[in-house]
Amino acid sequence: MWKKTIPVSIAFAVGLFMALQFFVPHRHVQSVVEEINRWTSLIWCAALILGTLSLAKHLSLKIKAKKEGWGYAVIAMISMIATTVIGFYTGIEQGTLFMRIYEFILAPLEATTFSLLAFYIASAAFRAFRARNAEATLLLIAAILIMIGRVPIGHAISEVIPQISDFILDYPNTAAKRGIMMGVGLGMISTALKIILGIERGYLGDK
Amino acid sequence: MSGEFLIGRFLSANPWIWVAAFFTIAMYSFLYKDNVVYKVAENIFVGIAAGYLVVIQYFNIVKPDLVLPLFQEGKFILIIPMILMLLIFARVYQPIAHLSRIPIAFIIGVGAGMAIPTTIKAMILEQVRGSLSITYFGGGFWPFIGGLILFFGTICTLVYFFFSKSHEGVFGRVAKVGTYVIMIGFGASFGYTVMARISLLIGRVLFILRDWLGIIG
Amino acid sequence: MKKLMDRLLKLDRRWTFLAIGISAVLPFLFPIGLAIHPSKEVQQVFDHVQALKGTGKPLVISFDFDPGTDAEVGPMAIALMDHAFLNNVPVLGLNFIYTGTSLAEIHIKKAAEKHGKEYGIDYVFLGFKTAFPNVMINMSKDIRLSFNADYYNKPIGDLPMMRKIKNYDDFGFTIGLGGTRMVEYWIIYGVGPYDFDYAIGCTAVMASDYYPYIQTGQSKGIIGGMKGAAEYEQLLLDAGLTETLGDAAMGLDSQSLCHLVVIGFIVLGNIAYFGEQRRKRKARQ
Repeated sequence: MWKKTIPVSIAFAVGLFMALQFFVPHRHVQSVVEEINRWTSLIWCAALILGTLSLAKHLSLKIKAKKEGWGYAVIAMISMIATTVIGFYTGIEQGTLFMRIYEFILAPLEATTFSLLAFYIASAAFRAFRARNAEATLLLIAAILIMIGRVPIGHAISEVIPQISDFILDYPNTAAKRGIMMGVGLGMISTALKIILGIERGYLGDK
Repeated sequence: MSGEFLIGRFLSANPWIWVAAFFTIAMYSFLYKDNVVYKVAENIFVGIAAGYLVVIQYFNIVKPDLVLPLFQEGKFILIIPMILMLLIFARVYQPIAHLSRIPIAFIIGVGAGMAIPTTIKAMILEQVRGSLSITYFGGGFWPFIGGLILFFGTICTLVYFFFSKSHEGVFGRVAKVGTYVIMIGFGASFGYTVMARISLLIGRVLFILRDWLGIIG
Repeated sequence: MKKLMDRLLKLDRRWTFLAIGISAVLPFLFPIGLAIHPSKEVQQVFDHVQALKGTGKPLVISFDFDPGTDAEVGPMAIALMDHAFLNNVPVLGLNFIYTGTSLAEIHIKKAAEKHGKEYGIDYVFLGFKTAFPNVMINMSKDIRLSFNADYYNKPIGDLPMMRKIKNYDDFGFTIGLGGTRMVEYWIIYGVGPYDFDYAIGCTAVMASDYYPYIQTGQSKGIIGGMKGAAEYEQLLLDAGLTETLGDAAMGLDSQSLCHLVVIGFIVLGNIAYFGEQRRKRKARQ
């Protein structure tokens, strides 16, 4: 029982404290807040590093069991270890080998991975975006007006096009996004309350 | 044309640019079909990203905020977060994995607590204030119409998301208007999404044509 | 006609990939040079940065983007730093997305070297921290509560520029640049409780989502995507601060052509789809 009660109690106590501290400017309270903020940053750091350890564990299990594609897992593992060792050895300043790995291997790989989406969105535009009903038609018309209006060619075709796209963004788009934002905000507040009150316990890793 | 003429004058003379170009093309090869070169590049990406995280976390957080203050400046209160950090790693060893719940509960509780008043202000109260303080007059005809669309559009959108009452009658018609407003909003998002994705491709094209091949200035 | 419609519907997607690829490349080889018209949202951001001239207060940039969004947000960062450095406004950089920490350092250092600026006096890069809400709350009292050293592990107290900067009251103007909700979290955890001047610079994907914040004044404008960055570059050119446009403006011709191609795909796809639906209805009759 205590394996769950203690963490839930901690979440309740710190959650309530951090919510109320905005309204208590007393220096003793605020100095506790400052310390909690520093500790939180450190613990988050450990949580992120845990992610890397989990990846290493997953890769090593795959290599050990010689599952399909284990050769690629070896490459990933070597890359991970090499980068970590090089980083600790050379430091993180510009000109170091670690920074060159970042600038000329990691950055291009990440940028290119995301740029692949341009091709898929073009393909999806052709194969999937259908004006099947009134709502979809409205969506596509708005999208086309924005696509033309927000690039220089829109202004070159007619000055009215960018004005229409500005109107769409300033008014109906803002209305829709505001409504969604308020809904999301209410959802965030209710989830936060559920966590503090111990109703939501997913973070404990319950099965 | 000789290689010496091309390299430096057009093609980049920096070997690291060639490394970057190789990995760029390796990733793009997936567009034709899945292949070994792409898979190797993908796994190198995963490995380097994971290693990079550890190094950056150490030099930007662990060293200046824990190691130096604790061991050089003698701030022994930091032993508490250090213990909490070590408890997080208990997660990888099943018999003591439950101990990791303590630091996780701590950070989740902190985040949840801070989120409540700040979200209420930024995402609810300020948005209500914004809706009630729309300027309808003095800007012309279209800003007046736009102001009405903004105010009533927000209400209709909120009505649409209220699923506790069935969307029938007047309520249903208002929700339907909300649907149309949302579709325009999503259309704007889609248009911008296309712009964003194309921009990312343009970034890589610029690298290939300018930094690597030197075809453009 | 029926055969054409069938072929269109069954077209291998790699042809669409090729079409987009060619559309992206061609305008670089044969530039069109379409004029850029800055939007009012970008103008607002420009005016706020311009107003820092002579105040001694820094432009604070939160570099919360990584290589995946560098093509859109990177040119914004460069244009903003060019603007600040050309007006002798100090720049303070920080970062909450670890995948972009080194990228931020690359950008800030390159911009500073271009303008002959000295580290610690004209610019400082504080580096990366996790738990951004906690850092933002601490920064309302004293930056040193969360950043006691910079990216290079130099104590903050040793940096002359930082002696004049304690908390948000000493920030001239803050801009969150990012491809994630981090730009919004600055409003939720920073601007909301502590009320300072702030603007968003984000990828185009997210730009339309943040218009409510502009309407309420929580964000003093927005720079959205590569187009936004190009508009900022145009404003710098129009103000006589720079002599050429940057990377973002270079890519706009390509952007325009690609957009037309995507619209063409949507229209073509719908023509083929409705043609097929019509045939099916006729066959049923």
